[in-house]
Amino acid sequence: MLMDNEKISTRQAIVFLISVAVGVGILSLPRQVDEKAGQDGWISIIIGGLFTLIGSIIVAAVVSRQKKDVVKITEDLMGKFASIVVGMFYIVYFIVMAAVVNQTFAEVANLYLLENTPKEFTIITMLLLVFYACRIGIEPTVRAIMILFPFATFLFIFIIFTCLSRAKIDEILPFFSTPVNKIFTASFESLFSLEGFELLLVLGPYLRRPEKAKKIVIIYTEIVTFFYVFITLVTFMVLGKNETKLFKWPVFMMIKGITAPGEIFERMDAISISIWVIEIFTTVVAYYFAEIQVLKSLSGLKEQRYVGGILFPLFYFITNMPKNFTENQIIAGFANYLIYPAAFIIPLLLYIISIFKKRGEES
Amino acid sequence: MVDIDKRIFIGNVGIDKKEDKYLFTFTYPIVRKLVGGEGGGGGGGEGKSIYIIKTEARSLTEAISLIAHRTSRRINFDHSRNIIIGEELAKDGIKEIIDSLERNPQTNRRSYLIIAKDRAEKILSKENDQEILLAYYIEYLFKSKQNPGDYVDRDFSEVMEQIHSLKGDALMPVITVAGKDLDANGGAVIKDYRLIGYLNTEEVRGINILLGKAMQTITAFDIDGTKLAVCEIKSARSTPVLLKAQEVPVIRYDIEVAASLREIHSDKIGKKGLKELQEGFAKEIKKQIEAGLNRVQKDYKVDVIGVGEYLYKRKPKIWEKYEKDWEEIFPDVEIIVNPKVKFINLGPVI
Repeated sequence: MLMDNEKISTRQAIVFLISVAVGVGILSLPRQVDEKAGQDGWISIIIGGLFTLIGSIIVAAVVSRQKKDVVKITEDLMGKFASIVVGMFYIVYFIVMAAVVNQTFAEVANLYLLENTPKEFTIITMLLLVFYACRIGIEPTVRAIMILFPFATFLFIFIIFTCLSRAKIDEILPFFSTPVNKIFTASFESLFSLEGFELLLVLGPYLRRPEKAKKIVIIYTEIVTFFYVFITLVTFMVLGKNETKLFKWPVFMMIKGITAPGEIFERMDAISISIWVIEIFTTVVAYYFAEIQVLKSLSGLKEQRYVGGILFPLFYFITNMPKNFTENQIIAGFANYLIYPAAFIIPLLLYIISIFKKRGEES
Repeated sequence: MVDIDKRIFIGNVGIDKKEDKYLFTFTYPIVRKLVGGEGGGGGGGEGKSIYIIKTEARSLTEAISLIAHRTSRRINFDHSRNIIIGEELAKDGIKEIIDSLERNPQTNRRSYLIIAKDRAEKILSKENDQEILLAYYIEYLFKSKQNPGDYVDRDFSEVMEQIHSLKGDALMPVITVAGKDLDANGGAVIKDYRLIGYLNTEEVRGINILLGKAMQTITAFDIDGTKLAVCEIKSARSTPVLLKAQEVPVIRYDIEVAASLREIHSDKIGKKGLKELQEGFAKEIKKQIEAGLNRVQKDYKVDVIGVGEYLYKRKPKIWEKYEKDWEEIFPDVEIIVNPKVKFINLGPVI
């Protein structure tokens, strides 16, 4: 069978990146920014979006210059040893991010959906599905995301729209009453939900038109920021800032209080949580795929499915390390620190060196 | 997996005080009695279709676990329609109960959290012929939204939103026994998670108009103390305006009421008659609002009308000055009510 498993279009790349960013954050981000910045939290997300834009443009510049993945770029610029260090770092980073996301999924599913199913089983089913989606190459993986993602996202936005019937616009007043430094702290907090663009670093060799990387990240940042600002605003307007702070997953609590107009669906929570599972799936798939790519180019192995198989137990083990929300928060806090080197510092370093060494320029 | 016919769906939860514990009353429908026997034999069975089960416990989750040993089918709590808190318990404090309700993942956030002007178990033992299910009867006292200005039209999630943003104060729906029926008129005032008193129908209506929430609500009054008129408030829009902010703030509420005339015992309504009617209705609205304000401001001294919230949201600089001793300041806040009535409908008779 002839399959073009090698290249993805610009549009596919955009959806791929957005699907990474839209994940656990859609249930918890309003609380995270509310804890730090109160009702001004949505401003923090916009600022976080600006940081994301800066970081992602650097990543895009690196990728469009070199057209390779991050390990190969580092090897080219800084030598073999540095590339191993960077590769190992990204392996840790992707695995921790995926683990946090997957563990949150397992906890929510355990609480609301599958009360008697062991969490380990929920995790392993998700991982098996993810492994299956990643086993051939980038094209089938991205296609799976392309089919699932718009469907899930539009449905979720629709559900949030139904919540607007309860929204009181003055809940987000007064504007800018929070000290600026708190707004900025909250915007760092929001990065965990907003980022996803660093996966472009492994997509480099697969882009059909790498010169369009900048367009990819700009559209990605716009959509993701807008999406999160919208969800946060609606949550604040429905629950108010005091109640948003009270729940682990305030967006879900908001949806639980809503009946769709006309009472066609009395309960939206069950639907929303199933949609959310799809969002989680697309996130974990993307991280898993990125992990495989880094390991492949680090080890020189060629076969996608074997590398995926090697990683499977590792993913399972790390995901199962935190056993509850509080423990998972500790890992998530650790992951939050990893974002800065992974998405900002390393790409910036690579970019500066590549200019300095004049690599990847058109001859 | 538990099949749906192996489950019971709790419709009402009543919570009362009993010594140092709570008395929980759960009611659930006996489905076979409602739809007929399993063999498909005709509808309806003999006897009561609602089962009442009571238990003493220290918390809601404990209570559910205790009645689980006594019910044949699996208990499902997430379709409960009403949670009714008895008067005695509400006076004692509802913080713990609210906490258990919010922590329970099965709590139906679209249900109603109601204060009973009585013991909750008494309300739930009421047999009413209007509806087969008591839960639907109580729910639709609120949900059917007939004259919603006369009661506190808030469901669980809205009450929670208020109680958290006012740090323990809220206006909650109330239910009383009225002969054979139950009555949802009026409201309960909660201060610092404790019930401190009730508002009657007129006071609640006044507060609702002040908050711009009274829609399709009928009011009967006398113009000049002689002519009876019945008017409907179609909608009310209320805008607070801060006039002065000295020792106590002075706030004017501009209220625009769109009204519809339902009944009047008078001749043709001419230009003069209309003016009289408008002024009379505005006066009546003002009277009702002031009655409600008087109650919450002077008697109960609790800011459930959101004056503090308004100042915090719209005038955050001024609010800083009052924030610390708002509880003392609030009863002295000068509130000027300025209603304007516009009739958009005068009925079919000239």
